Amino acid sequence: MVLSVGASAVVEDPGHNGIQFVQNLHYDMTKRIPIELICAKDSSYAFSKRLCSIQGHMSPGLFESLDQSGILNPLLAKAQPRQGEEVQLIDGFKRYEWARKKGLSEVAIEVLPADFPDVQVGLFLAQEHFHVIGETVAAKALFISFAQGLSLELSDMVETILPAVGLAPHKSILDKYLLVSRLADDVLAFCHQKAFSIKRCINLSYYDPHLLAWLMGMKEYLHLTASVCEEILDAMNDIMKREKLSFEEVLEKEELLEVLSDHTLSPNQKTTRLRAALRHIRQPTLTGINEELEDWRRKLERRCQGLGISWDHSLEHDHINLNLTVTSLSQLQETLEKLEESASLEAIETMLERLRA
Amino acid sequence: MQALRCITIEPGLVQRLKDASLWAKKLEEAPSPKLKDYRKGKRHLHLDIKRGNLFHLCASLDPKYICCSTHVTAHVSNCPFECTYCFLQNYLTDTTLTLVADTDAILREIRSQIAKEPWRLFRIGTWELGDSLGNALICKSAIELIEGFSNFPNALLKLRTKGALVEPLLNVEHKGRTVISWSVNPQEVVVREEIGTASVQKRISAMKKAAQAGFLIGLHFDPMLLFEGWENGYKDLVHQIFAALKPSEVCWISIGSLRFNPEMKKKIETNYPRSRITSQEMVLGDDNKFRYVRHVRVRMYRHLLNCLTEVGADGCLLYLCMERPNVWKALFNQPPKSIGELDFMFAHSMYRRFPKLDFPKPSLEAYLKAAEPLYEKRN
Repeated sequence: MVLSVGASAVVEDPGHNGIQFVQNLHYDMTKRIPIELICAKDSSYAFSKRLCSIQGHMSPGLFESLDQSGILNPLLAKAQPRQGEEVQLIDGFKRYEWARKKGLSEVAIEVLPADFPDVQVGLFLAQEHFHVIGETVAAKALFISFAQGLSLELSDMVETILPAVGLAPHKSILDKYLLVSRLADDVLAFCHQKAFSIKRCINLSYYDPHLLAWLMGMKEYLHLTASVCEEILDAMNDIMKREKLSFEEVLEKEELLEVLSDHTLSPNQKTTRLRAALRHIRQPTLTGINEELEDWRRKLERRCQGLGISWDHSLEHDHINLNLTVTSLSQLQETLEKLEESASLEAIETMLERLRA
Repeated sequence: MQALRCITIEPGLVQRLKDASLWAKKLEEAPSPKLKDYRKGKRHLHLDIKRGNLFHLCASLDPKYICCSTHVTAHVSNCPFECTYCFLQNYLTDTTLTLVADTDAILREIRSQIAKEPWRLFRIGTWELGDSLGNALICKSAIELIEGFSNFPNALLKLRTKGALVEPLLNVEHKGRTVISWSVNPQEVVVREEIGTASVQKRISAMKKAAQAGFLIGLHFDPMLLFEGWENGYKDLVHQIFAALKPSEVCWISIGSLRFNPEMKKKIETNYPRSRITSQEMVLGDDNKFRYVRHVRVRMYRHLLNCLTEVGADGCLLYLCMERPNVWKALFNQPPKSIGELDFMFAHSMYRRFPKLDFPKPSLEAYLKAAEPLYEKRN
């Protein structure tokens, strides 16, 4: 039977221990109720469903376990203010789904009174799902956004919810995590999968959502780390701004089309070539000069065995470094002779001239 | 924090303030609101006492570059203007526009510092964290500093602004010990990237008035920005300025280009999403600053130097800001080889070009020796 309107259990303030609070009420609240009186799909407390958006769907293993043993623990729900309304499911969505599939007419359920504080429900859910929430920034952000959806007071959000997910109780931290929570589901899922830091997640929130959506669409074909994501997004962003193009127009550039349409490339190869193509478009002067220097380097190193040439690829410094690797005196003499030949000297002079502005 | 004293505002100055009632309130003793929001901080002026030492070498000084080794006194913090490229948006923890009201204490500190090296010509700016003449109250403070500096035998006060607020200064007895300088950019850059600042025309008009009042003038083409038509933009700017000023009225001209650290890029893009300054081709150097590629910078600087030569301004002391020796070498026949040498060049230029101002005769050896600790610190 569902608790009637107005009935509430008189309990001591449990402090910030949601699970214990629920356990204290257990013997009063557990009932068997018809499954159709349970609101699951549209429940305000369906956090585990939100978790699926970043975690993926439930593994079949749990259903098998339920097949074997049935529902061992009662579900948890909260009564509605008006008598006769469905109870809102808080915990046990997977068990509920299994029970529906099995055609069960009733389930055991603990029903919290209608005036049970939502902040305590939030606390309970935080603890219940801490093994996931505690893992990543994205999961924390998701939970904080969910908790905000319960219309909690700001003080409850800062002083109860933040510590419950392992964060310091400051409004600035709440603001940061809410900013991250506004990322699209697939982006948030990606952040969760890659365990991005709060800084990385916030950085992603600055980009055009269409650009982000495109990159997420490419994640199967590219090898994306946090820094690679930022590099690609930054490059696309800069090119779009500088050339006043939409991102679709940027993608139509020949160098990019060539890479993106080549299906023979592995994710690593595709990523390397995409980054190189973006660098070329974004930094034409820098890449142009470095490419010229590379040509000369290859020529010289072929001429002079054991010679290694390097320079500052940012072109801030205008010197080149010559390194000699020798295994014998005769090799050293031979390399030095080759270096002194006019062709070698001309090549070095050309490189130095190119480095001089 | 309490204001040490109230600064008297003459009616003419008050009229220039946007919100006179706000300033009147701030003249009373009040604690600093310690604001965090960068823009909000610009609208709240707090008058503060002098806290600790304000006098130091410019924080940008780096032995990797040939720096001008200017000194600063940090008596203004934050700025009423809003330039998209301003480093303050990423730097200030307390964004409240703050003015140290106790100019006597500032002058006492400076007097004791410059007395330690009477052979040196100190160049001391008030612009490190703000605009030296950003509003009427800051101007009032600047007047007191000008009067104080007029008696210093071996120091120049450097005021630097993007405004046009010079009227209050024109009748002040400065005795040639104050340089008023302007940061300048083509008008289309001013409109897009230097929000709230005076137009180029107004700045030039102010320069002319200041020059006529006998102030030495400085020019800072910094930061130069790349944009479509930049060459004509800067050429026209130079010609506009030198149609109004004589090169003999200009004591120095600095040149620099856009630079910022990686955190600033995000800040600029967030605060000013329409600005395109961060999307130009830039490269991260080993000093952790984004800059235009060196070859591009040299091209920009060379173009500007050619324009300055065209108008006869190449006799002024021309120098680069925060650039390595290789950039100097690409542009000047006889570039300074060190920070000490550039410091000497300033002193020598002032001594030679403005003999009536009776600056101390500089010794290259003294300046080179004084700069040695900077290099030892790096090593």
